[in-house]
Amino acid sequence: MWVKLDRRDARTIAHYTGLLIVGVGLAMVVPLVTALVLKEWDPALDYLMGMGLSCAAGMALALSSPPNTPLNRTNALIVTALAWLAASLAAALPLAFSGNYGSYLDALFDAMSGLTTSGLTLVQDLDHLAMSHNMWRHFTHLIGGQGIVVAAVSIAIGLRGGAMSLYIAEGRDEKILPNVVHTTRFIWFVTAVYVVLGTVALTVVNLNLGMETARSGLHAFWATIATYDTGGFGPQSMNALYYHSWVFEFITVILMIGGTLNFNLHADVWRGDRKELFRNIEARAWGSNVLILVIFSTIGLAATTAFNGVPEILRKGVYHIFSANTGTGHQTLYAAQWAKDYGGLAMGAVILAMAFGGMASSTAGGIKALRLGLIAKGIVWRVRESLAPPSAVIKQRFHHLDDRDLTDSLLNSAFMVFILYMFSYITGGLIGAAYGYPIGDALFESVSAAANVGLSTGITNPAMPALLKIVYIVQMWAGRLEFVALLALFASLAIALRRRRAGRRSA
Amino acid sequence: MEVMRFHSPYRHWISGLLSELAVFIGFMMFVGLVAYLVALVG
Repeated sequence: MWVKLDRRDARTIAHYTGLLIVGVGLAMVVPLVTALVLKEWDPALDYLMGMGLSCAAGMALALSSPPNTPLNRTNALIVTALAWLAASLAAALPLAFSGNYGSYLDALFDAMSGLTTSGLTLVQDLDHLAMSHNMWRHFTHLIGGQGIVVAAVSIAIGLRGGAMSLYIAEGRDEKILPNVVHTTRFIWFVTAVYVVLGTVALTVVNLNLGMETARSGLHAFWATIATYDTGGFGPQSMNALYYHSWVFEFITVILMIGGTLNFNLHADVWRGDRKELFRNIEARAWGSNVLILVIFSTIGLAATTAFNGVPEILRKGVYHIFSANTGTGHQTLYAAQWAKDYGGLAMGAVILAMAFGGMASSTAGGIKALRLGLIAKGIVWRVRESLAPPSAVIKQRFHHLDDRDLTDSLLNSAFMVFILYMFSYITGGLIGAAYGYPIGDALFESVSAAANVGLSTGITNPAMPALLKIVYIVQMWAGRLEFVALLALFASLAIALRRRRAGRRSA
Repeated sequence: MEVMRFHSPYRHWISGLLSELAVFIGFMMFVGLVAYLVALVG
C-alpha cells in the first residue's frame, strides 16, 4: 500500500525543510566573517544577501506548522531528500552573486557538489576567487559531510520532535551512543580532532613550501575539510597538484582514510577495542578493495610511458586509488591526462575504486564496502547451501561491531542498493556518451558524480550541456541519499499529482 | 551486551586516535610496498 500524504504532512515537511534552510543561512556567517576580516567587501555583501534570502524563505516555510510537530518516518524520508536540494538552492545564492559562475545553475551545481562532498566544480577563474567564497565552498563540505541533519541536530535548531527519524532517513541507521544528540556530538568531536590535527600538519607543510602564514593556514584548513569530509574541492584550479609535495599527499591520504572510516569503528577504537579494525567485515572489505585496485592500477601505469620510474608510478597510482575509493576526489593530474597518459587498465581501476566507495556511516560515497562484504559473504553462503544436503540448515556469520547472522533481508537490501548505484553509473555514462563524449570518459565522470567522488576527466566544465549538468546534480543528490529517500520523494510527488488529477476529473 | 556497547568513547580517545593513525600509516606503507614490488616486476 502506498502511503498518501495529506495537507498536514505537507505542512510538517515544509516546517522542517524551512528550519534546515534557516540553518544553512546561519552557516553563511562563517564566510561573511572571513570576508569582513579580509576586507572583501563585495563578497561580504553576497553573503549578507544570501543569509537574508535564505533565512526569510526558511522562516516562511517553518511558520507553516507549529514548532515541535512530530515527524513520522515517511515525512522524515521526504524532508531528508528535500533538505539536500533546499540547502543547495540556498547555498548557491552567494556563489551565484559572486560573478564567478556562468549561471545560477552552475552555482547550484557547485553547492550540490559541495554539500554532497562530491568535489566536481563549474567555478570560473578559481585561482582568483575571493577567500570568503573559497571558505564557503569548502565549508559546504563540512556541513554536508557531517550530514545536514546531523549538523542541524547537533546545533539543535529545533528538531527535537523528529531528530531520530531524520537521522535514520539520512542513511545513518546505526546509533553510536544511546541518544541521537550524543551520537551526532560524537561525530562532531571526531571531526574536530581530525580537522585540528590536519590543519596544523598541513599548515607546517605549506609554510615549508614557502606560502605566507595566513594563506598557509587557510589552504591547510580547506584541504583538511576537503579530504577528511571526502569532498575534493581545492582553492586552486590544479587541485592537489598545485602543492607538488609528497608530504602533503601523505598527510591528505591519512585524512582521507580517517574520513572514510565508519564512525562506529572510530567509536570502538576510541573505546579501546582496537581489534575491531581488523575483525570488522567492512574494514576488511575496504582494505582488500584498495589493495587489489592498487595492484591493477600499478600494473596499468607500469605499462605506460607517461610516468618516469617507480616512485612517480607509486605516487600517481596509490594516491588516486585512495582518493577515488574514499570518495575524496583530490587529483594530482591534469584532467586531460586521465585519457591521454593514465592508460585503460589504471583508469578502469580508478573507476571501480570510485564505484565501490568507502565505508558506511562515514562521509564517503559509492556502493560502500559493507555492502560489498555482505554480497561476497552471501555468494559464499549460497555456494555452501548448494553443496550441503537438502535437509541441512546452513548459516553464514559475519562480524560488524558484533557477530551477526547473514539474513536474506540484509542481502536483498545490499543487492538493491548495489543495483541502483550501477543503474545510475551506467545511465549517466550513456547520457554523457549521447552528447558525444568518449564512453570511457563519460562513464568515469558519471561514476564520479553518482559516487560523490569529484575526480574529473574534464567533461565537467562551464561549457558542458545544461542537461548534463542537471543529470550530474541529480546523480550527486541521489548518490548521497543512497536513492531510497529520493525515490520516496518522487513517489510521493507522483501520488499527490495523481490524486489531484483524479480530484479534478471527479469534479 | 548493550550496556557494554555504549561505553563512552571519550575516555581513551587519545590512545584510540594514535592507534588509528598507526593503523592508517601501516596500511599505507603496506599498500605502497605491494605497489612497489608490482611496479618493479612490471
